[in-house]
Amino acid sequence: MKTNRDLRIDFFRGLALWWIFTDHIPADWMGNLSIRNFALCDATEIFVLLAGYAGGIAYGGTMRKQGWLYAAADVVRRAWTLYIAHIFLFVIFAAQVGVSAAALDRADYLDEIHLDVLGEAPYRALFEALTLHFQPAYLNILPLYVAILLMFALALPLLRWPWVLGAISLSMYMVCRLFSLNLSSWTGGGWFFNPFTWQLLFMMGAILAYAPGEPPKRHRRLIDALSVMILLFGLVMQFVVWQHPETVGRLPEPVIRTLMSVDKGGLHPFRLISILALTWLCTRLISRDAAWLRSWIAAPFIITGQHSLPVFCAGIFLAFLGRLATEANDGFWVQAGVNLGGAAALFSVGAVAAWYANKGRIRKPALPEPASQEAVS
Amino acid sequence: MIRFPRLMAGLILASLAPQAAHAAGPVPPVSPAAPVTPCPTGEAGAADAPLPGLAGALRHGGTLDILAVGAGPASAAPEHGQALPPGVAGLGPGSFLGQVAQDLETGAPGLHTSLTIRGGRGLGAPDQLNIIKAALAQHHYKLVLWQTGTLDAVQAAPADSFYQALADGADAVSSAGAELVLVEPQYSRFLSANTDIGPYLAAMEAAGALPNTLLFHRYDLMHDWEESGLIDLEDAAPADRLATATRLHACLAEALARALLPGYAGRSGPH
Repeated sequence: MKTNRDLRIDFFRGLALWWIFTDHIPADWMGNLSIRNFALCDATEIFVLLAGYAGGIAYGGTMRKQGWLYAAADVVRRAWTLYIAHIFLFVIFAAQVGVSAAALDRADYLDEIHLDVLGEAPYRALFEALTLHFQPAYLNILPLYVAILLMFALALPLLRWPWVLGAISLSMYMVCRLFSLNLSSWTGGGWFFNPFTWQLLFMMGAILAYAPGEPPKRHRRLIDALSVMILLFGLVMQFVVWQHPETVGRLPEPVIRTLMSVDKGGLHPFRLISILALTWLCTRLISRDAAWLRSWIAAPFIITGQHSLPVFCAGIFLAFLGRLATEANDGFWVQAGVNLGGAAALFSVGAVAAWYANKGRIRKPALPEPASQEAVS
Repeated sequence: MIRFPRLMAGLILASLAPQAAHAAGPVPPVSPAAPVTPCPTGEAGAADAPLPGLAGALRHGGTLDILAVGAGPASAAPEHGQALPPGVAGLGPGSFLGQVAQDLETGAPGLHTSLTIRGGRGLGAPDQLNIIKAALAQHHYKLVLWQTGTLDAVQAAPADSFYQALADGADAVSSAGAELVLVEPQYSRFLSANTDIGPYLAAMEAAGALPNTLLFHRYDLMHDWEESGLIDLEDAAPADRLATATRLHACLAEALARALLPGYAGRSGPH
């Protein structure tokens, strides 16, 4: 396990991967404990923000040493790796769902996950999947990541002028939200995650990593209070409004329209400020040197967070297996088996990936400062 | 090759068997089997007040022209706005909407329903709105049943646009002298876990408060039945799935009929 880096990043990436796994199992009791039940954002926002942060450290560091072209080439190579992983996962997942649907006589699996079109027009669907115009459910995060990385390759030099990069990124976010600009989707409706709006979160992470300014001391308490209020607002929205939609009908029209506008695909401002508030409070409450980050409790999350790509792909596959198991039997022991077995499997994938990444290398002493923090290893 | 699901095949065969219907025209209701076990009741399916225009039609008898709009599976109608063949899940006379018509006739003696079904696969609320407007321009319907929200939620379409489509639909229906029943998406654990369904249900709540409009809380009702183990289609054993689906549709239809017909006990008898 690499310990010469900011383990908070790895820990929360690992936690986000665990939540992505449990959130994708419809009947999983553990899914009720994930962040999406308590805040306006969910694991996707955590994943993208921390991917940007890791990218800012890794590729920003490369750019400092070897220039833009070298760093951008690394980013594009990373995007290519993610693209290959996405296509591989698409094939595995389509086979998994298709075989399950046939064996269990559950065509609704295909409808729900939007793989029905693969059966109707297989050649066209494969072509559209290769061009990322066809993204079944569960398979829309990696295309988002690929698109954002390609934008990041172009934007890398602007990391030296973080305010300029921030202004451009924010402008793109606002314009694309205002005019509903998105990449097209074969099945209609555009990409599920609009890369033109979600890039803002990634760029924020990259800026925070590359040019970490000291937060203003005078306003820390104020930001603390604002962050807590934002999280409380999220709790009210989750437990009062969305749990009891009948309350909405009694609200004034402008309030209704505002609430209706909270979307995930376009990264609504409510979701954005929710993840920013969470990030602020985490950095305030959890020290980079916190002892528990080096404890055995945190280790599984850190190892999976350090090898997020194979763990993510395995998580999607395992989540569908978990769904099949909990649909066959929703009892306590099956729930326990799915969650403990899933956790063990994800940790194993992370551990194997760590072994492959380090095999043959001479162990070096830990450095006082992070040398690198790969975007997705 | 994936076998055609028994559930779908059963629903189609069940609805085709009693009476053939014209795909493009009004579909006469058939007589699907009433649920053997009495249906559960629930507050989620109850309406605060029935629609006044519908109440008058039920009192006076005669023919009640119903337009039903929704989404169907791939094999049903690939082209937008085409009338669907009878019997497809959720839209055919032997399924949910067909049984609603049957329940209305049972609960209001002397009433004859004429059910016209429009819709197609892959249609979100804005597309369905266009279908409703076109259908209302061609024929005078007294009641419009609009099943919507699932595709919009799955595709994460903007919920405010979804609400606007519903509000425009309610306005168009009202202007045409008809009344609207909005029908929430069917509950499923997948929909609950993998979509942000809350804003869409809230949009339907808000639209349900518009004039001449009633909201049928199908999502809540199915959720309640599933949570309490009364009717759980997703948890049903493969051998029981067809029977469970049939009962589910019959009970949903009965719940909606109860919301529209004060005092209606249902075809499954008093509870």
